[in-house]
Amino acid sequence: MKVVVIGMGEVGGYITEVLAAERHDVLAIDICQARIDQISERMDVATLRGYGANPRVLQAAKVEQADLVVCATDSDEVNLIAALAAKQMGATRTVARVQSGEYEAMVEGEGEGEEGLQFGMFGIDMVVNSHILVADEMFDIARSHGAIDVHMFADEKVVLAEVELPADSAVLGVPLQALSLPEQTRVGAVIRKDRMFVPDGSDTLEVGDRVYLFGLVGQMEAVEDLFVHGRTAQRVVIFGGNVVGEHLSSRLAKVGVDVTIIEPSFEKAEALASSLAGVNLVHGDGTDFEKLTEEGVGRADLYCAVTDDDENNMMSALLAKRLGTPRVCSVVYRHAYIEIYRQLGLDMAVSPRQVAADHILRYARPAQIENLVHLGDGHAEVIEVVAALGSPITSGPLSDIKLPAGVSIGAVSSAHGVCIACGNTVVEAGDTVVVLALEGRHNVAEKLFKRGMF
Amino acid sequence: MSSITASKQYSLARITARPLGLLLLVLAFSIAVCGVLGFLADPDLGWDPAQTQQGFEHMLYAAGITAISAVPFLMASWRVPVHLGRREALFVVSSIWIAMGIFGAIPFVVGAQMSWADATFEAFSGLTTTGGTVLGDIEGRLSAPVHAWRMATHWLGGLGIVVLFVALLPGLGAGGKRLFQSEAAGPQTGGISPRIRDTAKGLLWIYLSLTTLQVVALKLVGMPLFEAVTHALSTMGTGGFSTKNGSIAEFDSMAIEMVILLFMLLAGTNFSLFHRAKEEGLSVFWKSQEFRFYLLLFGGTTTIIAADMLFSATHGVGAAFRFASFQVAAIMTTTGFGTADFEQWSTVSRCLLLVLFFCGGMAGSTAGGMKLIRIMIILKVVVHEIRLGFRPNLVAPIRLGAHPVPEGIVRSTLAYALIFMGTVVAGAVAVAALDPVDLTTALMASLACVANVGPGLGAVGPTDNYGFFSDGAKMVLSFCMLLGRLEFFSLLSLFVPAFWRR
Repeated sequence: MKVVVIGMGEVGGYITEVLAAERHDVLAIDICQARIDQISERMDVATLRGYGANPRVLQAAKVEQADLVVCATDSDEVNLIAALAAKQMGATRTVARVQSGEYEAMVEGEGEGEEGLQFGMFGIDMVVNSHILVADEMFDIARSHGAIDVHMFADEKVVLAEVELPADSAVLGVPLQALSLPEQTRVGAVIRKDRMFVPDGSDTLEVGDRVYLFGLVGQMEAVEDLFVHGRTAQRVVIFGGNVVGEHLSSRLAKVGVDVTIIEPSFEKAEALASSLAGVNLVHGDGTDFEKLTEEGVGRADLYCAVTDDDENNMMSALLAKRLGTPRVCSVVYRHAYIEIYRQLGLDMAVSPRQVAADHILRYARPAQIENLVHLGDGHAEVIEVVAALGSPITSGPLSDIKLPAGVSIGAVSSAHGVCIACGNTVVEAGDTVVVLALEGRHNVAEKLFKRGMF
Repeated sequence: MSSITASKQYSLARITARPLGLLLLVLAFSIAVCGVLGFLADPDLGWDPAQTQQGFEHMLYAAGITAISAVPFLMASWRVPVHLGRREALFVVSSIWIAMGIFGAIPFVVGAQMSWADATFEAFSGLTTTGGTVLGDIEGRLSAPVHAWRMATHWLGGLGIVVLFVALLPGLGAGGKRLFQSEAAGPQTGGISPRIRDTAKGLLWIYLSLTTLQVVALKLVGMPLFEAVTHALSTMGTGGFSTKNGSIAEFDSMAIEMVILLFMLLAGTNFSLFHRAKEEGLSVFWKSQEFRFYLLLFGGTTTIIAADMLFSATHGVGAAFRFASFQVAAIMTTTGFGTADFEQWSTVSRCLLLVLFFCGGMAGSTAGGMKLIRIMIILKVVVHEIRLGFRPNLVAPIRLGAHPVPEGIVRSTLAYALIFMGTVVAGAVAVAALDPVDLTTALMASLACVANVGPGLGAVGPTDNYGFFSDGAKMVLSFCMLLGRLEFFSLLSLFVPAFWRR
């Protein structure tokens, strides 16, 4: 596949790296020579220095021959114009990343939970709003019972939730096969001491394990309650009145959650207060301990630091943790910080880069794979795959099929409905299967769903 | 994808072991193939079948030794992931070339009973496509398979063994790019494909096609098959070894000379132009400023030298152009074939040839020398400095065609030129210190080796050879050839203490 990526920031650089590692022909474009040099040094890709929205640059990049053009510069307008121009010049598919909320108004059917992804706007195949996607992900976390990460699959019917086991969890030390999990739920994978593995029935869980649970939407609360003692957030405090904060608060307010936004700029706070009904706006700094105490952050169920500044988010989240907020999450732009966040005891870090890149990569990959999410800092991928006629996975009940190591079947969606995989589940050709594969195993996993050579 | 647990650090030696092991296997295979190639030699044309058979056995023996030597390297690198950073790539490329010179000498030791110093000189001379030999009587001494190997070393080293590696080995990723750059001929070599493996494959394909084409062309103009194959290998690598004592002159055929002349010029052309010509048509050649300069330099020098010959009334018009054009192309593309003893030419002509020794062919070709693109950059810097003399506030970047040349490339070009001159002088001093030779011989031997030309002037002229040098001088010259082929920086970085400190 021929891919042109414009803008070598966090998102563009990451997408370039992933696609180059998958041996696609990638051309990286950026306006800054130093960044181009750095990319060229690190990855096996061609590079071009130039302004992404300049038709002559696009011509030099031969976008007319490209199968995919990804526009991910820091400027929304450059991205949109570049994607538009590329499309007009004959690129097969174009994707533009935007960050401002201004282009959100053009979505039809607002509030469907997919505002972050728009298909066909201005003729651009996909417009990804990373900030809104981040807000959506935080919304899912807020609605869950104590999960620190939540992903949706199979048309929002299957949930994959990550929980971190506290010392008083009821599931410690019991072999998994002896656990009485609620119907239609299953343990997908475990991260213990930075190592991820797919457990079998005889494994036991330990304090501090991060467990990935599959379940149907209705069942999740019960499982989460078994693993951790959480509850859906009723009081949420958000630091930052930007696009993320605005979108997150309006969604939470709609479902009746008590939301407070702390915004350092008075003008912004004032403007937000008039546009957001049912949300408390407070003028103040989220790194100000007095302010946080005053606003009763310690009594909130969830604290979200979503400003554009990583360091402020981190300090603010740490303060909230100290005040006793049970769950704290933060937006993280710099990927390298994610591990640091975990080490500092912050529960969740949502990276706009990872969220946007996941959606773009999902779109870039072959059509057979419908959904793709990276888990645990790239230690595993979850994909949705359609089982092909005569593929190994359709040969019998799952208990009779020898699954390769590091691969776990989560759920199966067929014409009869969605079910979480168990031993006697039979996958039929045409079913969509949610599969978790550890790093480097996704090719092996995909083979299960392709027709064999014999 | 960043990983939480830091990947294990392996020593340079273990990282290098796998490429080295694989290289030895490739080398063993090539030696064996040359053993078989020897049977193409026609007994009716003076090739002794008994000698060929014996040579074949020698080659199998040499291939065996090389293949067995690969085993410990491959075992040491078992399960070591190939992750090549800048430093590793430089070390891998340098050690690959040194190992090639040493193991490439085995067929000469086994098959021609040469001393190790002679054999390694011959191997380095072959692999770096220099083409200077230590052997006086090659026809009598070497069997057909050894001849084949001797000329195949040109072909292997011409495009670069590392290109072959990058083309064949999957999974090198950006490491492949670093390897490629560490061996690359001249600045700005990219441009065939976004992925380095496809680039390497494309180059290899062009190289193979041109070589095959030349074999067919030589066969059509009446060269026997074995000679056609070996001379094609030698020409495309811009090497200069021949199966004859008197080089191409001994065939005494205008047609053969013209075919070889054409392919020398093609081998000295930037290979990515051939690739682009497939898509964009033949106009890419003319659009390339470097290519125009290449033709101009070739045509201009040929005309002046031919005119000089006519003026001194030593040759007729036809002969003058025939010898002048062939010799100019042979020196300029650093091939070093001979049809005329240019030492007998006038001083003007020899001076012009001396200039060509420095120039070399185009960047991205198999030719040696400084590469024309560097000469062009240097000339433009000089002009620029002169203009700055009377217009000090002029802001004008150095341009090649429409594109400004990045400051970094201008700087490295000037540094390259300095190192080139410095190495030539240092090599000459070292040779003169070791052996009792005159100034011309010392300087020209060093220059001919650094520029990978082969024949020089003085005692190393087109009718002489390097056999009379002492072993020490041969080693100095071998090192000069390697420095020139790897364009100094890769190899010299190993001699900087900071390279080893980390």
